[in-house]
Amino acid sequence: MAGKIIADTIEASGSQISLNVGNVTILTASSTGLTLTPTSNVNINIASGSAAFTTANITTANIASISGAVVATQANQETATSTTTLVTPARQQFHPSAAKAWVKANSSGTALVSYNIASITDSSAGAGIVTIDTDFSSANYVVSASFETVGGMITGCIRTITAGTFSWYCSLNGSDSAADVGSYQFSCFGDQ
Amino acid sequence: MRKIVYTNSSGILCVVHPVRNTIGETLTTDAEIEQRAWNKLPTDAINPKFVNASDIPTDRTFRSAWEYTE
Repeated sequence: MAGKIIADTIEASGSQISLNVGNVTILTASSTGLTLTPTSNVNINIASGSAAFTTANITTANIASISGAVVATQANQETATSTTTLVTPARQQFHPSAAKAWVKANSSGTALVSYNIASITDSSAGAGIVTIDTDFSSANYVVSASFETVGGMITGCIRTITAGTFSWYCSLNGSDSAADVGSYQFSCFGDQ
Repeated sequence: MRKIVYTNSSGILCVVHPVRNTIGETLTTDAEIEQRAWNKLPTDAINPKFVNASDIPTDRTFRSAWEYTE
């Protein structure tokens, strides 16, 4: 039955207002659109099995949290192809472009700043081992290294790499004898 | 936080510094962080021991000649 309701306020006597089956269009008189003003936090639930909820014309929203398929999973991040899911801080590091571990350590092996590192081993002057907390899926990952000098030219290299560790070696001024340097800085990229 | 010392297969004394990450650390206590480092020691580590940080020399002039004695 066709009909029209003209009202400034509609109050539900029960817990819901039921609209017609099929498309329902809510027209508003101004460009400010439809405003919901709950007196406390409110949930908008899209029933399971319902058609897509189109949000193309929502211009502003203040949402406390979101969940479900719209939130990128670790697999979404690792695949790195989705353009329709959202990245959250605790999963952004799973993207191939993100550093999975990094550290700056002083000459004796003490970490100054770090992420995802379990320990640093001082295995002699100018040589050491970084042990990663959450390992890579294989030894096929990239270690980017830089070394801070306190005098002299540094030659540095990464040596043995496993899924959870890598070692380094530094020398000064062309010598083949390992020597301490000012600090060690490493960042690691790959699949965990 | 304590350190771990062990001798590697080349006979060199290694000093392991357990790391409390400045970003994204999941562990809380020093004991947990020390244990994480211990659990990840190389399988060929010889005679590993926890030692106090104050037991590690700060003078590294002869670093490669360090030995551990109780």
